[in-house]
Amino acid sequence: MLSRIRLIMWDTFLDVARHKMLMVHLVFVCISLGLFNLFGHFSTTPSLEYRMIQDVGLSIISLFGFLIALFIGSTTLRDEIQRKTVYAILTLPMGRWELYTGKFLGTLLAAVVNVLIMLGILTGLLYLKFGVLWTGFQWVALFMLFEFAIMTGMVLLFSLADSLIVCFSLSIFCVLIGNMAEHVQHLVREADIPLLSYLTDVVYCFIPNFGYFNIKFKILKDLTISPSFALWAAAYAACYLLFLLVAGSWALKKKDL
Amino acid sequence: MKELVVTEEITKIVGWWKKETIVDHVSITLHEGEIMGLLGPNGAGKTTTMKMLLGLTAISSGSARMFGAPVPTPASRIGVGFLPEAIQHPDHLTVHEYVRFHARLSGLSGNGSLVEEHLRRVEMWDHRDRLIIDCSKGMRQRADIARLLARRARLIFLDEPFSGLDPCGQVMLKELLVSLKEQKIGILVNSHAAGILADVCDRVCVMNKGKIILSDSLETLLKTSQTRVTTVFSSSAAASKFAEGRSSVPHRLIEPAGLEFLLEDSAGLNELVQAILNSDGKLAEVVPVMLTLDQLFVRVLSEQRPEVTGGNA
Repeated sequence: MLSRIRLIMWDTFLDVARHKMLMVHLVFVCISLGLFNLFGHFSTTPSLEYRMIQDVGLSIISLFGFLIALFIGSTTLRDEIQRKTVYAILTLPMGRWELYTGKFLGTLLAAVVNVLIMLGILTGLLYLKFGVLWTGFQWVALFMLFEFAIMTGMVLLFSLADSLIVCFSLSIFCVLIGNMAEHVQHLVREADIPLLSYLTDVVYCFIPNFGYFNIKFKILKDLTISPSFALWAAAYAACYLLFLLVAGSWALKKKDL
Repeated sequence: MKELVVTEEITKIVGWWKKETIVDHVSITLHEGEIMGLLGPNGAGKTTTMKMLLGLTAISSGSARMFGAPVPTPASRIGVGFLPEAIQHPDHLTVHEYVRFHARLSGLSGNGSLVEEHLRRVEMWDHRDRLIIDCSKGMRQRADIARLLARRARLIFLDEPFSGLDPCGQVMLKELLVSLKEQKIGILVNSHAAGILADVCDRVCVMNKGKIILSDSLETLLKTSQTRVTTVFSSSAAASKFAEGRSSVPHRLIEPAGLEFLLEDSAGLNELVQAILNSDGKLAEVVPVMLTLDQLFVRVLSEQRPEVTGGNA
């Protein structure tokens, strides 16, 4: 069972990693990050320029990271079902959850590797330009990995919908609402309407709170990330990923192919 | 013979508001070493029947067992292989990698000798390093057969396997199926190409609108009650004179001096044969008329079609 999951995971990773669209995304990232030299004209001091590049660089990575999660999450399993290549696997004496778990892990691995590559490019560019190694890199990498792992898992779940538009719409909706979690909850508290507060709590039981992973402000201000906070974020990510895995396995089991 | 597949009144109903019955109380049995054809027009429910047996689609009602285990448990799919219609292949694997991947997924070691043996058997060993998507349809199909063999399939489902194959490919696939049958592998083949199925199948089920309308051994299905009697006379005049006296029996003249009679049943056979022997004709052959599977298929479907009544009174 574990060997099958591992095989499917590795095959999925290789399939995704070789996809041309991923290369296109990475090229765009390199071009975008390479435009950093323009920032020298707008900043007054090197430290300000450094912060601006970090800020914009992380925003670019967030955007492309989301696009990559959307692309690989929506195509990995869906393409296999449409091309009928999944039939050859599902007619083996195995549960559908094994296939889904292998696909889930392989897709997550591909997303993680892409995020690490993009962060590596940004860190490398910063070092080349300023000769300073980015000390908060490991925290940024960790929290971004949590964020994009959840995004990818979510898109993979939605890719089981019959329509690609439904998959994209649900994914974009969840990412937007998930990123606005703190603002929405603050507004609801200010409004002081119990029903609204209850509904918001219900919604945020299912939609992930991406605010937990948004540490860009802290990194730019050189604030420290406490280990307990990192552990809490890791536990939240792990629980949510487990929820996505179980939900996806159940949805695949019920789907008529 | 061991029963590999047994279905009892399996049904598939789809739709939320408007229900539609795709497969309607289908019961089939497939034994080891048997090739069964599921013949029917497009939309008859052949592929859905297969998918239900393979656990790809849920059964709405009824039950099915494969290798004695209830469908759709994983145990029912031990030793089962499926070749879907118009399957596409991964674009990142070579032929060898593709077969080895599936061998390893089946729990086999995927060692070189096993994969090599089956690739050689389907004449794909020389193309093992080609990307599978770069191979022709016939080659990809042979690679898929190697995939099924590499996982030691004892029961194989083929959905429109002859579709898109050139005549050489069809012949090769037919020979392969016959050789698999000799190894006691059970094979269920979907097709609407009746002529090709007739060359390989032992039994045929004809499906239409979700129901099985005919199911029997090929020999029994194609037999008719008709008999053809061919005779040769000394001259065309003698043949014509004999035929005049038998105008109620359908016949035709065969140049230069022959006659061919087609009897609907055996009632008049003795009388006709006696008459021929008493004349100066010589009996050439007396054979039962067999339909082709195409003819049977068309006949059965036309009987199924509702009559079109006329226009205004």
